Amino acid sequence: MDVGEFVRLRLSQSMISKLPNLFMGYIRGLKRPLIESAFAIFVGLIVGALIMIIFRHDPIEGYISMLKGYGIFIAKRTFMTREFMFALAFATPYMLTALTFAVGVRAGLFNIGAEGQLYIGAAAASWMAAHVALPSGFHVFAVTVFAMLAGALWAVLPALLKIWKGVHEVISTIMLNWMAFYLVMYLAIYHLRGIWAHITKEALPTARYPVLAGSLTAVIFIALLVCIGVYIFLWRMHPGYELRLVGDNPDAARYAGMSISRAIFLSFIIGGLVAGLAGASLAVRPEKWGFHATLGDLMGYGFAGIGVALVGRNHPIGIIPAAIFFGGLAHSGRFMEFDIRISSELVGAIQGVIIIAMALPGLLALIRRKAK
Amino acid sequence: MDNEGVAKTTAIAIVIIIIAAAVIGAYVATRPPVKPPAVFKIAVVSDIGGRGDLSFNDMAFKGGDDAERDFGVEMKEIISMVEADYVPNLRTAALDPDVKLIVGVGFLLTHALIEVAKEFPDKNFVGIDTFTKWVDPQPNLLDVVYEEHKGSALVGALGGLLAAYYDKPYIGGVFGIEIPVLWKFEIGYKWGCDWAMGWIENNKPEMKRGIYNTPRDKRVLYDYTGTFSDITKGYLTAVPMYEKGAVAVYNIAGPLGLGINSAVKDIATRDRLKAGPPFWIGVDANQDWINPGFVIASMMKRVDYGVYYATKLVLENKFREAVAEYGNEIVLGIGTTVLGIPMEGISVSTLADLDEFIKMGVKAEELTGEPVLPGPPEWIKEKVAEMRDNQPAWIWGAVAELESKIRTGAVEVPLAVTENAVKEWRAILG
Amino acid sequence: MITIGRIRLSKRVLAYAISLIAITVFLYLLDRAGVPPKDIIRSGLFAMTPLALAATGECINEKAGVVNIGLEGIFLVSCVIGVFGAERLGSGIAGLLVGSLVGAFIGFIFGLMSVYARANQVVAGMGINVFGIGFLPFLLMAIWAFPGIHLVRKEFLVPKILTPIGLLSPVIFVAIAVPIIAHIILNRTFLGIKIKAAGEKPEAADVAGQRVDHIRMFTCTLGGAMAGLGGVFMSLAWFDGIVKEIAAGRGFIALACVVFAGLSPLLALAGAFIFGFAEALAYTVAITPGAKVYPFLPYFLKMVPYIVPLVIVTIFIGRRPFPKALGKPYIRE
Repeated sequence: MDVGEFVRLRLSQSMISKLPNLFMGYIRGLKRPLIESAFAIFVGLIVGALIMIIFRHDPIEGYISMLKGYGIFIAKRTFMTREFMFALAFATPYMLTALTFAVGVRAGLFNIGAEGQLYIGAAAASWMAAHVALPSGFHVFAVTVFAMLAGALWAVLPALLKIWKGVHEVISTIMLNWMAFYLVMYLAIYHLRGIWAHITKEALPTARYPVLAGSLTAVIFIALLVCIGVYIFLWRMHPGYELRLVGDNPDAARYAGMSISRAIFLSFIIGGLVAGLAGASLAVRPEKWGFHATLGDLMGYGFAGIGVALVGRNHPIGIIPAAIFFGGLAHSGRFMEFDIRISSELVGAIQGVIIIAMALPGLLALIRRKAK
Repeated sequence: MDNEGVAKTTAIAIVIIIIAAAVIGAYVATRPPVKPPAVFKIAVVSDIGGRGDLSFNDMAFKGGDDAERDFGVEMKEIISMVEADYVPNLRTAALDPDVKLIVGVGFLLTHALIEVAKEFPDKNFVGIDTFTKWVDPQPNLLDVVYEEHKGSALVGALGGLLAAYYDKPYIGGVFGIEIPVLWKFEIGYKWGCDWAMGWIENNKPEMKRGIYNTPRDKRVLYDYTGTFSDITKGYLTAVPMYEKGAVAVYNIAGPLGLGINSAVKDIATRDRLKAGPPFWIGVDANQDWINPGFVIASMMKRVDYGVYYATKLVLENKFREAVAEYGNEIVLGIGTTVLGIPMEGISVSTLADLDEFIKMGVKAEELTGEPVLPGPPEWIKEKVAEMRDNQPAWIWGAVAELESKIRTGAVEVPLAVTENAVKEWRAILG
Repeated sequence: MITIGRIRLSKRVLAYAISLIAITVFLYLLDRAGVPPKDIIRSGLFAMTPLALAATGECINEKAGVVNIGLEGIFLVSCVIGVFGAERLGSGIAGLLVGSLVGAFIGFIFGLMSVYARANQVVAGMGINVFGIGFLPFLLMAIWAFPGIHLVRKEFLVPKILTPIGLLSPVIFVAIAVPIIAHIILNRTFLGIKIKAAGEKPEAADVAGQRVDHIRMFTCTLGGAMAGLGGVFMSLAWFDGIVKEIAAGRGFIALACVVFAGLSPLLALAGAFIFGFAEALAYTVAITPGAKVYPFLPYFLKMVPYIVPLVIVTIFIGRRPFPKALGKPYIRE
């Protein structure tokens, strides 16, 4: 049974006074997916170890270095908060782009438009943050909202094409991703630039998110809130319920008199809003408080989000640990390369194997069944 | 229930077997021999182009290798996969107590270098192509910049003269992403072509043909492809350039040179050519060996020298002095010196340079036993030398003349890094 | 597919006729404007080939109910190992075979995971992509000890051949033939019916005595082989070398072609060609000096290859049915 489904069921059955029960139920509901995910990660690590052995690296040393990405320094027996913060900085945009994909899946869509919506959101955030003067306090808010709206705007077209013409979202979002790429590149070079033509203008001090450590800003709190908010929307509110039903069983939704178009539209818009926020989180962050016109600062997060969402089982809460897992993975490569000279490329391949293993939640069940 | 119990046991057994296999494997696997710790380490942090960009990242690692060989230092490489990697990568390097010098390769690392240089004031930092001097200068951070515009002017002149000689109307340029560093290349290249036309007018009136008769603002076909990695776009851009009659195409987009090369090869196969024209022009590294006979020359930007010199400065304890003396920035170009020692960084490739790069290929071939170079080293050298000899001497003479004029300051190659300057020059030169 | 109504048929014929006329007029205008269409078609055919091959394989795969989005990863891995095979076996054709075999192997593994281990196919596909992106440059170092790039010697290449429209690779003709053959197999043979049944109604196929798992394993392997051929085409028959980002997102464009076509191999071929042609056209127009008058124009031109297929799919193709069991593992109870 699905985690959220379980919770909803529980909620409907129990009163608030039974909260402890509810909590235990939630944990029990989590047990299976957690065990399955843990097993998948474990298999991935073993295959990764085999690859390391084949190419003559010590897998134990390799994984000790990898743990540094999560702030765990075994040799020094310490936990480095600062390193963990870097992992969280990687996790923040992953969380959001994963949410875009997950909300799509919940409505039965394969929405891979986060990449382009993120670019647009970043351009919008950069413009609002650097080129518009607003009172402090309100400015940060304006940047966030404007970026989200811009991301949503870029999601409107695939939504409408899907609803009106039945154009499959895979083609419309891939094509719009590339259009956004060249559009934002142009905007960055010719309209958003500051002193340096290849960096967008620095965000004004009033528009900056507070820095927690390194490149981790307070956006992570917004991201967490958004995850929880989407969870509440999908599982505790009627339009969210409709959205999920459309994804699960469109025929049933149609018979129940629900508007499939509305659900699809909503899913795209939520995805766009969230991806726009991811753009803002990348465009308004230290050290530049802007982004390079090469778009190197923004590229790849949308696609990484797909993997994160799927490992998080397309669940807004499940995405949070998945994003942190991937964030740590992204941060750990440098340690593996620096400490024991595993080339960064091999680190990438090992990460790919871990992701492939994550696709196998059924593996444990399969082993059990075969054992029967 | 019983069944499930059995299943669980099986699953656990399988898991244990796998673990055992991995652990045994780990110990069976030969551990790489532990190197004696070097007292002096340098770290090179690449930008997202990483290894194999055929350009400045590879050149920076080469510089590190050369420093390892000559000074006995140890180089640590860290590749950046995304831009968010820069700060953590630089920090990882700086946290190692043995690392005395950290090199960040590429202007994209500017802000990251400043951030980390502030955090580690007793370490030395070098940025290749960076402009920290203008953002927030640090006493332990040195920008190494290059006079790409001058080198581009030289190959622009070479292209222009070849186009006149072969009676072709254009030269071409395939650029990466439109950023100020590339504006330097673009305007320098066009200016060099323009200078060549003036040279023909004064010195070789009989060569007033081909490109000379093309309107001044239409002589250079160029495009910013918007990528430093998608070689298809290099091919798609170069094909129509050659078809329109470009005698040579300048590759200013790293790996996209392979796409340009493919376009040249198509023409060579179709017309059964043994050597150019058509040609292409390499960039940053020496790319003449990629397709001997068809790469007329490379505009070499010696990022390796930058790393090498910086290591030398640190070893001789002159690094901070140089940072202070030169206002946080040293320029490597044509005829440049640092602390009285000549340190150049820009040149048009010569046969001697070719040898240096072929040696890298030969080394890889010896190591692996696989073919790395497009042919035997002698054959490559012969073909390149033959191609160069087949071009009239006055062309090489004119390019040498331009170089000496740049060296003495008799001519000034425009340095366009602002939008307005680029606009102005584009209005004149196209 | 036989129950095409009379009205739909005539509308379709009309659409074909109009597009044909439009294309002819367009090519004529291009010629008049000094942009010879011959070269654009030639470049377009090259750009089409990897897309058409991978997309056709994926069409068959999805018809049988399995989604493999790891095409990019297959491109990358097969492109390196194919070159290695060509150099070891001493011939480019052998290299093409090795490349397809590598693709087939990845497809086979993917099939094992998605058919028998009930893997989440999208995660597994993404994993293949991440793996490929890392593994390609690693292999370059491991095999040739030369970072990021490898050039293939002439004797190991697949030679290009001269045709009336210029130099083309023989693989291009394969890429044109394969979708046609795939179309015939899917629509005219029993194998095609079995494949489609596995994607539409696996239970029914099972009841009818077909092994859904075998069919899906077959299509996964076949799809992988075709993507592998597309990948090795780029290194051995087009660019004569490898760079680490040689696919540069083309695996995803191939997926877009699959969706563009609504799983019809012929339309996938058309989609791949439209994309390739539009890309070649845009980059040809971009080098004309006039294109730099407005700074936005060059950037707009770079969007054209992405706008054109989207417009075409919106106007001409629209909604298309996908197999009901697409992406869902089928386990016999």
